[in-house]
Amino acid sequence: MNRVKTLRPLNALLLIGLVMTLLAACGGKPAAPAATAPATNPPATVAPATAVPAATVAPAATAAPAATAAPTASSAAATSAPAATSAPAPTITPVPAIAQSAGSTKITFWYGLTGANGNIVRTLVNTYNSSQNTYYVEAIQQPDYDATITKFNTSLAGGDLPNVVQVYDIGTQRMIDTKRILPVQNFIDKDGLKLVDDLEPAVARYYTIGGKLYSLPFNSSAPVMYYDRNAFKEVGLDPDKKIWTYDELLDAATKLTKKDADGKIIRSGVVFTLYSWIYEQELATQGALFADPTNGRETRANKLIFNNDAGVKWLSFLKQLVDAGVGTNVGRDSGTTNGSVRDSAFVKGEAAITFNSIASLRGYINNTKAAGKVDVGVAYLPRPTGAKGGVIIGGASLWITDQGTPEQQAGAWDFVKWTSNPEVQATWSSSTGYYPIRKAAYDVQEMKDTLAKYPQFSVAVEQLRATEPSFPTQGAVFGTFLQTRLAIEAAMEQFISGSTADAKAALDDAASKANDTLTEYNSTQQ
Amino acid sequence: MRKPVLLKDSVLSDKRVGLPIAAKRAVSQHQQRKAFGLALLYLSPALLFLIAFTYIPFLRSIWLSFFITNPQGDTVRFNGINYYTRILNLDGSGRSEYLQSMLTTVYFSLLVVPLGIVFALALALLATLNVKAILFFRTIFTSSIAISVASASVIWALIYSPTTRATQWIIDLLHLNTHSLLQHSSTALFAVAFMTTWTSLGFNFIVTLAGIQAIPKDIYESARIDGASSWQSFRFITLPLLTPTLLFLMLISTIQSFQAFTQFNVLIGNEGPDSATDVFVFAIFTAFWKDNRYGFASAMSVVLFLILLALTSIQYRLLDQRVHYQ
Repeated sequence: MNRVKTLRPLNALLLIGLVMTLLAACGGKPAAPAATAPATNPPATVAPATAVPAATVAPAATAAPAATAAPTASSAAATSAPAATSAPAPTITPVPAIAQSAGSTKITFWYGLTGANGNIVRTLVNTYNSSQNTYYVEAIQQPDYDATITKFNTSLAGGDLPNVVQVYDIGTQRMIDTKRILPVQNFIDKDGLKLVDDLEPAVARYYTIGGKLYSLPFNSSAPVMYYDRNAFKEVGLDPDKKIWTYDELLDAATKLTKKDADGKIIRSGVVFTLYSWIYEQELATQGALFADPTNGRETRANKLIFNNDAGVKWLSFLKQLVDAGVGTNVGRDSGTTNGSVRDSAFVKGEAAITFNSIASLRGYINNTKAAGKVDVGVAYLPRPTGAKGGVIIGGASLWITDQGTPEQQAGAWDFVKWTSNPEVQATWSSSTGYYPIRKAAYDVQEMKDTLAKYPQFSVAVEQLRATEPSFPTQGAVFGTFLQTRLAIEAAMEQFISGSTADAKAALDDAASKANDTLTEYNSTQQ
Repeated sequence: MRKPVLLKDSVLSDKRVGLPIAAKRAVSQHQQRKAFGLALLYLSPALLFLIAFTYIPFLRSIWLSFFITNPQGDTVRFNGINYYTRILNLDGSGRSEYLQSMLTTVYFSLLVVPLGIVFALALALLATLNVKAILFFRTIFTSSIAISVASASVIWALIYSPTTRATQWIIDLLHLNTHSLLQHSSTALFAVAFMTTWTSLGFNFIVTLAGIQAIPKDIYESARIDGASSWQSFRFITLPLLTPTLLFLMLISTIQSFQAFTQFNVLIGNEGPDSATDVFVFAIFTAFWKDNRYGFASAMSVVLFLILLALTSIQYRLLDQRVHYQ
């Protein structure tokens, strides 16, 4: 055991190096264009080419997809809950950090938000730093949410952890499993605060596992259905109806689909990506569990059961839309830029309905304003007739680690607590599009102004508050969420594209793959 | 083996011929050790890097491939050869996605390698034409060498994007039920392969052109005097004398196509429609970065290494046999 432990610091570097170098070793050698004398190099000289694949592979993994296309943040939000839609990434100049005042205790803070939202994080940190002299928060940006948790895990061995880290919703179980976390519940109890009572209930429920609030939510989102009110009025649909059943929506999509004289579709009823996050939501609206037992809320989840009737119903609905020619599938969401294709189709009026996070609202509104064609409306996510469930929150929260001195830990809590102040949350919500995690934030004037400007926003909060607390709507926690989402989206693609005729079979296959990984993960946590 | 022999020869051929044989051997052994130490000293900078960044990670990945690791990368439990049997579908699960992924890699190779060589050869022949401004055209033909695979992928992502509609005519022509060539299981791999061919064209072109230019002109002249047509010159002079170059290109292109990753990550970002573009390297990437199964990713890397090792040695053997010397 000891010997294994001493090897740990090297793990991060070696593991990353190993795959790359292996690939290089596999056949990197013919790097020089030795055209006339090809056979002279013995097969073992790997040296010159070692750097080549490493250099081309590594940056592409994180940077390239983000640059691929389009003005949206959908690739940054790829595998997690989505960030705001219209962040024109290249034009952002980072807000500079202010200097540390003498004698203050330094707190390191990693965050995974980028673009415009990343800048607002930096602005908030500056506000905190200039508001007091005891602590100084050094904010360090990470490439995205995925990279943040990967870096956190690989830093565990070296001991160089941040004091505070922002981690996405689906990283919750993995963060607990690092065993380096100080649950914020402990700090709240110690301070005797009534903070939890004032948190948005659905948000508090999500980050509560086994009765304990582990991290303090920071940016929270929720899924909604977006629609074009103008198109609805045009074809005689009720533009104020908030809850649509699958059947009603299929009917509406048929009415909304517009073709030109040649039979070419100029407006599709619905445009959607194959998005696991929405799939999870549709399970929740039907009150179905994602993982067994109890979505991992009481004891560790040991089996994924997302391949259920609720899932089949959602997939069948999407397939019906496509087969009827009234729905447009633009491909898988996680890890791709297809989300930008969906967004562009919706804001240009090429499709009348789509499903996405409420955090995209202002991007949609701003991008439709110029053309003046689309009037953005927000409704609840659709559901089958009679479904009684609700939606699960998305977004990210702040975790405090056991890193550093007691002063630093106290400082970490001071900063985290500060971010939940109603004023801070009102500013945060008004400048990003996430909803406030504190109920008290709605009393702040800035928040009232924002709601007056974006009345659609309140539908998301209303939908959230209409959700009955239950294990399905609390959301699943388990350690292998990222890969499970990929498996689900692959299954969705198989079924919607028609290569697998049976939705249940496609989902069963995904569940069996996802369960293999989960079982292995759980076996490393005992 | 040749080098140590040379070393010994030089040691033996010094002036101490008069010494008894045993003493001579002792001296020579001593000197040999000294020479070896000296050689090590000179080699050490390169060796240190190789050991630190190639051999230790390589050995460690072999070691890791027999263990289950936790998300921090610590080995948790010995796993025997289970990962290997899983990859090769010998574990009785009946799930062959990794073998399928190897097959996909082979398909990709079969698309990219011949296409790349044929295009490069055609362009190189064009570039040998004696026309005005041929240098200008050669520069154009070479230009894709200056574009990194990542940048090229971004360019092609836009070309294939349903928002630009640049490839919509192909979708219409084939009556595909999709919005992008990259999202249909029957076209996705072709689309990536075509882009890869384009990216590697510059390099392949330069190598082929250099090969053609290295063929002595007098052979063509004597052929022309004998009344050979230009097709005949190509068929019986250019092509045979170019085989070493073409085989060399084939070797490199095959290895590169087996290692291709960037374009898959940028253009597709997942295993593709119906896993149509889930090449083996991408499957390794998924296992390592998305699943955090470091042991499993290591086992896959080792398998890929062995495949490429076998492939390379086969190709070297071919290369040795099929070279036409003048």
